[in-house]
Amino acid sequence: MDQRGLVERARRGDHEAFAELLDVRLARLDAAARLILRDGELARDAVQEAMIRAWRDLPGLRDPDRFDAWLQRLLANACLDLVRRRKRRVIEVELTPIDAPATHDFAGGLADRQLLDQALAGLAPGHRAVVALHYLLGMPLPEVARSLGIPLGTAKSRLHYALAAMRITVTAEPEPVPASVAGGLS
Amino acid sequence: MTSPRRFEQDLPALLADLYLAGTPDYRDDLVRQVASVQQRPAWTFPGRWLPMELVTTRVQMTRLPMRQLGVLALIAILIAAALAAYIGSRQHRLPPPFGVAANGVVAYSLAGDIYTVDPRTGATVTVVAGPEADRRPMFSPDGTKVALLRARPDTPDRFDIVVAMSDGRDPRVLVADPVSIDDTVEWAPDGTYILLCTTTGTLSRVDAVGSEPPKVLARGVHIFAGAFRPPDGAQILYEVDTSTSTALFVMDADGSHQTKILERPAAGGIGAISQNVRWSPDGRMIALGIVGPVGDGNVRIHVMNADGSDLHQAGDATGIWVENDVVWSPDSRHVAFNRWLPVASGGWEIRAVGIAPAAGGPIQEVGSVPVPEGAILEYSPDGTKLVAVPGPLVLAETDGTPQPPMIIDIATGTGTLAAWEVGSGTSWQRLAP
Repeated sequence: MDQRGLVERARRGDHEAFAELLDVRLARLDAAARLILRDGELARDAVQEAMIRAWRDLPGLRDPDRFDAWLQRLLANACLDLVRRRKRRVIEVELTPIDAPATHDFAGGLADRQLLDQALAGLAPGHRAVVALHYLLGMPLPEVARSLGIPLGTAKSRLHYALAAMRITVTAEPEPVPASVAGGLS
Repeated sequence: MTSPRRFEQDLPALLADLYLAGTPDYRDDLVRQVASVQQRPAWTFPGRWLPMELVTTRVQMTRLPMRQLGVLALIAILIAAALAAYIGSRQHRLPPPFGVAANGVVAYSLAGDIYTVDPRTGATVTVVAGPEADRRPMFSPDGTKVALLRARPDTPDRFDIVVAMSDGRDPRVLVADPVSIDDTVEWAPDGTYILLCTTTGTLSRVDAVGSEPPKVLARGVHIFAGAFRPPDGAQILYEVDTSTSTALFVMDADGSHQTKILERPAAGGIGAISQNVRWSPDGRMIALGIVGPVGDGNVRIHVMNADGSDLHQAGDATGIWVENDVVWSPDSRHVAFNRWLPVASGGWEIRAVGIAPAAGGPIQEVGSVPVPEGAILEYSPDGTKLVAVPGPLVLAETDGTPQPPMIIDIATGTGTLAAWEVGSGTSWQRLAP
């Protein structure tokens, strides 16, 4: 059955249809939550909260084709709500095991992944949420802004600074005044 | 070491590699928990029993009655004919690259083709059409050429930069790596080259008239629209981010003589620079967003002198606000920008576009309220109008549902939806005054 049909069925209270919708999305939603929160337990709580809210409010979703964007929005907000609620709690950093096999040919894979993880740890949850929605869940930036309830310019700004922070760490570009390289090729 | 472009392209795969770990072990628990929760009945959602226009914040904007429009169009056609004859008689004259100029046509894209419209008459002309997906046209400062982004058929999220004459003749693909929709593309004041800055920080000049290979000016930098310093474009304004600060620099147009003019706290921090950085058209001032006391949920447009002195807030907003997407009036006296106010539910409410004196002072609200994400703003070359295009249209990689831009009359502050619709951002052609 296509997604629209499954959403329609789930909207009418069909648990199996909802579980089916969940199965193909759960891994990626869990990954996004772990990216934003950097804590496996908190990520689980956020996913759980978002999914329960999704099930409860599904009859109110007007356009079944917007299901993914809606679900991702619920997840992002659940993550940021958790951050707000637990602001004073020290968040334990759970690093993804770095001995997992790399699945692409990214240059210098292992070292870069460690550096990237380090760079992400230095970002605020709101910045990581933009990265997670845009780069991990493939959401267009205007949709990211809408999902997080922030102005488009703020989403652009967060993405720009998150990319800059990651680039500085991963590509080891010089931090101070950029060197002029007139005459070189792009 | 990884190249910046490669880094950005590989980021989705890299993040997936870092964070995707198969179906989580709590899947079954989750399904059981969901099964124990009751769904809300459909009738409890307001949209199910109230007309949606009563429960959404959509704002209807003024439309001119068709009859009046017809009369106006007739008058405009007569005026346009007279103007065309006048302009035709002095075609050799070019406008200055910055400051006040006469209004030409407005370029825009729609369903992958490029059009121009005469805003006075509403008459549209197809400029570039064909099977290619073209978008985001941008007139050169002298109004004689137009640059646009053309999606690559194999990788639709990557674009070639195409330059053509303003009427669409002689299109040619510039020699450069394909760009992304988030890269900054900026005409040089004399229209001989394009300044290209990737989101990963490589700043290059790309020949727009010959076939010289692109020349990298700097790496690890970021430029904004309006980077060339008026009146001659001899300097380029750019930003450098580090883990401890964000700083504004200027360099000569050849990449030499890099000089820091302002240093602020690191990205997102209180007092940091927030995206909006633009030269005034007279080259004496710079407008920029500064993050306020509660982080990036509180941004104000500021203005300072070209050397970084006299940094002051342009408007008079107090409390928590976000001001963004600043543009200068051609006479350098005012700045216009989007504004958001937080609401109790935790979201943001867009307000009407604000115009403030560059010297600082009260904000004048103009036009109707834009879409929630804000509008991309552009002054008409003569400074009497402001075009507001819904932001999501401009930022998307493909043309979305066409929408009419709002044309704001500066003198009266009224906004009117244009009779023409666009699929991406607009560019207003400058003509000799």
